[in-house]
Amino acid sequence: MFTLVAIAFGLLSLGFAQSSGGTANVLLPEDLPTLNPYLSTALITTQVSPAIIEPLLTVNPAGDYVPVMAARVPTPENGDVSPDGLRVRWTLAPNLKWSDGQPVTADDVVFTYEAATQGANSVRGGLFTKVASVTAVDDATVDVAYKEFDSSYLDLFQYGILPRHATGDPADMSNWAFNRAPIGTGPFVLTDWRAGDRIIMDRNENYREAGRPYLDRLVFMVVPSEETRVAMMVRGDAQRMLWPGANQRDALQASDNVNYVLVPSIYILRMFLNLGERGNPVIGQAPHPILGDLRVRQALAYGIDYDAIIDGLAEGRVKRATSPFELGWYACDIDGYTFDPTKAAALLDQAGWVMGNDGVRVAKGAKYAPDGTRLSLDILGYTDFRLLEQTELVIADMYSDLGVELNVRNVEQSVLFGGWSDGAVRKTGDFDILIYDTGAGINPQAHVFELLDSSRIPTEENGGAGGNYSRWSNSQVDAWLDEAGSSPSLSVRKADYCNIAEAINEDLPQIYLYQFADGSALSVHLKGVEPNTWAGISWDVANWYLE
Amino acid sequence: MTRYVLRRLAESLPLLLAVSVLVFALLQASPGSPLAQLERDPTITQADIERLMEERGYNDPWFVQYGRWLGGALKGDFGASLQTGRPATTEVLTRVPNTLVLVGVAFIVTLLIAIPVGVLSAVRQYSAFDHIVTTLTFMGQSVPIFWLGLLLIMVFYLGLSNPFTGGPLFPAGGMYTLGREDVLSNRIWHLVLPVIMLTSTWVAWYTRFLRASMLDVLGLDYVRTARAKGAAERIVIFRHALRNASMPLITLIGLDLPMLFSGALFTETIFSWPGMGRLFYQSALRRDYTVLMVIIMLTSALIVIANLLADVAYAAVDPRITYD
Repeated sequence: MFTLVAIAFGLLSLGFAQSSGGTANVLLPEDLPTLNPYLSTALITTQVSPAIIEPLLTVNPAGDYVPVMAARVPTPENGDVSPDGLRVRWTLAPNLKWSDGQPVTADDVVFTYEAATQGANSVRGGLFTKVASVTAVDDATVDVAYKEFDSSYLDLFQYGILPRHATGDPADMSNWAFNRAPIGTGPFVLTDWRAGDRIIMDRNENYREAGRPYLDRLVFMVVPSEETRVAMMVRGDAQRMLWPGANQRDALQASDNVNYVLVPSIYILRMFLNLGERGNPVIGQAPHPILGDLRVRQALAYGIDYDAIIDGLAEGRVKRATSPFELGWYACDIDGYTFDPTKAAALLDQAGWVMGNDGVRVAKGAKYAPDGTRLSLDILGYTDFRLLEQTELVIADMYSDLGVELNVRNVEQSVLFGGWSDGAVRKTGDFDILIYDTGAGINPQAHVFELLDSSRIPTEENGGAGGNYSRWSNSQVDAWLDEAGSSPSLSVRKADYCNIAEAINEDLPQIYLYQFADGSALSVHLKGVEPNTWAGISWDVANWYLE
Repeated sequence: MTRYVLRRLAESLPLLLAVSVLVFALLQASPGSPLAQLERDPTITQADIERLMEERGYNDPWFVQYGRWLGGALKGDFGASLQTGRPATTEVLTRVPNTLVLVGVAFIVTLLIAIPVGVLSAVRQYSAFDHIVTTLTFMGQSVPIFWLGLLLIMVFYLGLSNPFTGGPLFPAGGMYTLGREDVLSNRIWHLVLPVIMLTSTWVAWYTRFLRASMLDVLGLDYVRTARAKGAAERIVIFRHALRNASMPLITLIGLDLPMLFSGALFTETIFSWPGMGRLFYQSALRRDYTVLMVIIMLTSALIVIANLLADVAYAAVDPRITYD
């Protein structure tokens, strides 16, 4: 009899391997301004809100779009995207209910569009700039018509769907009670929000997946001191910590209670080489006396010991990057440059840069620089980012062996990233090399267009708009960017991006260094968690369970 | 006395008005905007930012915005928080009780320790007790408060365990254990470490202050006279000396009282206490001008009231002072 019970129990536990119940505490560094993601761009809001307010689609850790409230991902192949890409049909998953028991209808999607575009204080109107109309075809189907093709059409409802019946007039959005007491379709419902202290959520009994979420309760605790957050993780009083800093990694890893997981970050550190004459922001006028010569740029790329930086300096917390396309569906496999000081020296010799008396090369028959010009370059980054500063110094050291003088000149972030009217040198081109980290999301189009298209070189005429700081002008790349931006086919776009990656590698407007990783601190007892580069921590909260 | 108090209160109104103009202008002149964080979001267009600036009236000159603010404030409407959309007064008032509990308890504990220790240390000047007190208070004043808070967490939260439950001896933060909000002992348990952190520096400061002012008084003629008359030492010290020495103490308390509402940023940060200090800091970081204005005006009003209270207290302590 006992054996039978044991077997039955064993079978049962196979079927329901995840244990149900319990409370998970998640530590946040600060309180949310609002739970309505259409009112604030605060990252902290979009980390928490998907536990309640769900999007139509999300992106899984592998970088694939997966349905959440939608029945399927609209694609040209399944007919949901018209061949010209100007009409996208969304179908809602069947039997969706709001947490108050009301059915979710296509009208709620229409309402979300109204709120985002007409809502007072809406910060998400920009997502819908290419949208002509959003109409409900029937209770479960929504058609979005576009004025022009938008390659980010899948991201349109990434911040969630709002219930018409539980919100209010869009014109009054900033005053909705909903903002602090949202109704959603997510696995949890808000129970209590104590300002500056805790956000308490309990399981949504109307959640579409039976048996989920596994947790009874999810508590977001506001703990402003990072040291205190680490102490709570180590002591086992909290199950997850948002954004543990790299400096806390050792303390967290040393604890038996904590798993420290690294996931790739979208941020990539790169050097922008100024191809144009310094401080002369006119497209294609005069080349940079030193960096205008491809052989010099190649020498600079061969002159960096990437492994020494990645393994030695960053202790493996970062990974080699060779192009802006490192992640997800658009990742391209580019070999990139490896450390080869002999080749680098040979290239500099060929380019007409001979070793001077003081160990710095000088021009003697160089392509653009008058004879006697010293091979001396300024590198400009931002302050208060230790790894970036260390990287600059190490590169300067490697370059000095080559006879290249690299002067590190860092400024405050707000100065470096200033606008044209502030006279920020990034915009006006008054630099030799820029170094900073930036990255694209799951849809890289807007990011790489800004970065690489020749129309995006900041000049007086365009008021300094655009982010093509290398002032790289390559008509082939412009064509690939246009095609990638107007094609609904991911495979076509990926081919374009990889062509661009090759072109960058050949022409070297930028030298790619490494890609960062985001840390995630989890209790060893919290299971079912998949840290995700593309979505906030709450994207898979229905699957979390305690062991 | 009543007339005096009323007159003082009436006088303070123009003062508060002047403060509000000045602070408002300063906030508007400071760099940064409540919309600054939008600029870093790639999905936000410049057109969106322009529209929001216009919608929220940030493009108006500061005095127009001030007029709008004052018009609302006179009707009791201090505007909505720019970050959360809730009324700024609600944001502040939900934090006030938390701060009152923490800072109030710490303040009372401080006085309960500092007054007897300060007096005794002065009376027994250069005794072993005095030396120990002087050393400890010196340390208390010198220790960085942030470091002390972390040390308390290291020792009493990470290091020591409760022998009965196996849990930590004291919690690392928060005001209560979820589900046990109404249990007094749970509340007290959560108060211990932050109160220690706050009182350690305050006690040091107040003890040294009281010791010094007692020493000033103890050497004066009237104390010698009282002793010569044959008054008991207890009476000499408490009735004659302390009463006079407490005048500067009242001033000090009067100056510190607004702190009961303005909070203690470091302690609230380390011990995750949702109080006013953190709200003020957060609001400043996020350029939440409406909330900042409420906090600053509340604190200014409290300074006025605390000063008035101190003046009234002088009269109670020193019979020579009358206000009519």
